[in-house]
Amino acid sequence: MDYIDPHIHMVSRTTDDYETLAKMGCVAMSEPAFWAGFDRGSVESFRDYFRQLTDFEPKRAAQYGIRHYTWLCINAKEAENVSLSREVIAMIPEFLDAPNVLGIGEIGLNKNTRNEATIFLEHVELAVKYNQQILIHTPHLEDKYQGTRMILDMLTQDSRIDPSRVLVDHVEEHTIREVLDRGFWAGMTMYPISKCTPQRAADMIETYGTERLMANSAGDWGPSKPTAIPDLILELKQRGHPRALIEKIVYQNPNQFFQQSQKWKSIVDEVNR
Amino acid sequence: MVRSPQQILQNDYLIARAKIIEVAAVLDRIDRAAASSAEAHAKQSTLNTGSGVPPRSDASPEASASSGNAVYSDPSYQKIQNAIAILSDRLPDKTRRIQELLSRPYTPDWMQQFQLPAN
Repeated sequence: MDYIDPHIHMVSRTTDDYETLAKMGCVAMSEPAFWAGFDRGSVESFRDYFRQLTDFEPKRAAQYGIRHYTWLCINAKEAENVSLSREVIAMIPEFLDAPNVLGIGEIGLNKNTRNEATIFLEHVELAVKYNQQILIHTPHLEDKYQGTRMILDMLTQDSRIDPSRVLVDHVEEHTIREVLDRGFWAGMTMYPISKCTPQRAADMIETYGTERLMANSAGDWGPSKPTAIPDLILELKQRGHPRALIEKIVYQNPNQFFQQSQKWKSIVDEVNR
Repeated sequence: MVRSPQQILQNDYLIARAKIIEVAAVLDRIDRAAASSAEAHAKQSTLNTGSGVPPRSDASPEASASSGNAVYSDPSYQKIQNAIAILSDRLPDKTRRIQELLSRPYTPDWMQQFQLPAN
């Protein structure tokens, strides 16, 4: 079955992973900018990172027939360095016209601090100024509930933000309802240790339905599994769900959300020919 | 729902069984370490006092901590116990309730506390 991984960090994965994903049905992916595992020292590090995301990765993916898209930001972990964050935010517009850039992301909170919230709001200003879609990172573990509510507060208090153009990722059982009720798209991240499993993602689909809901692997340099979406497909098949429901979650919903960008529409049409 | 409750139980019983045993094993591990620590502490105290009578392991917070019993009042341990209580009740939404139990609280006036501008 063809599928789209809406959130995966391929800069951390090998070319073999591209081959495996292609064999399993992955036709397109979006890669939000994230933390490298260490705090970067200068804006030039981010400029090189954004070149990798907008130039190198699309070529590597294309070798396996996978369309690669990306989102740009400085992540919440590094937002504690406010001056560096502002330099990076000022530099991002250099890359916004690249053919695979879908918007600003993954922005969010990590430890739910004042500095993180300040830089989050400045990213939102950037997205509004350049009419960009937004991809949201919500915190992990005990910080998730509080941080998700704080993020939703910041977004919903801003009348310029259209929730249908915002994807809130890493939702779990205690945050999904609030995200969907406020009109945002929600992404379930399947991760072996933290976040949720394919089984729990299937439970949330059964509980909350398929509208504005998608699933991703968030495969990165940590203990993650880039083939988590095929695992979810298998779980849903084993539970007896129809093919149409599965396709809506893993293909049609991400396609519908990303199609709001003209860049995505043209390339996905090409994949489907 | 696509599957019946009985089918779900049949399919997921071994998964639930394995995970409950993992939790039990973690608690046993803590108990063994606490008992071992208490024993070592009692021996050391006996040697120190020379009285031959081991002191109570809960005689003071310091003694309790060094004996290993402090783990039972650790907030993380208490959270596990409270989560187990949710597993045992007959109310719905166990996953969401346990997630909330294991979460930091949200306060609606956080923006004022951070002195952030409201749009």
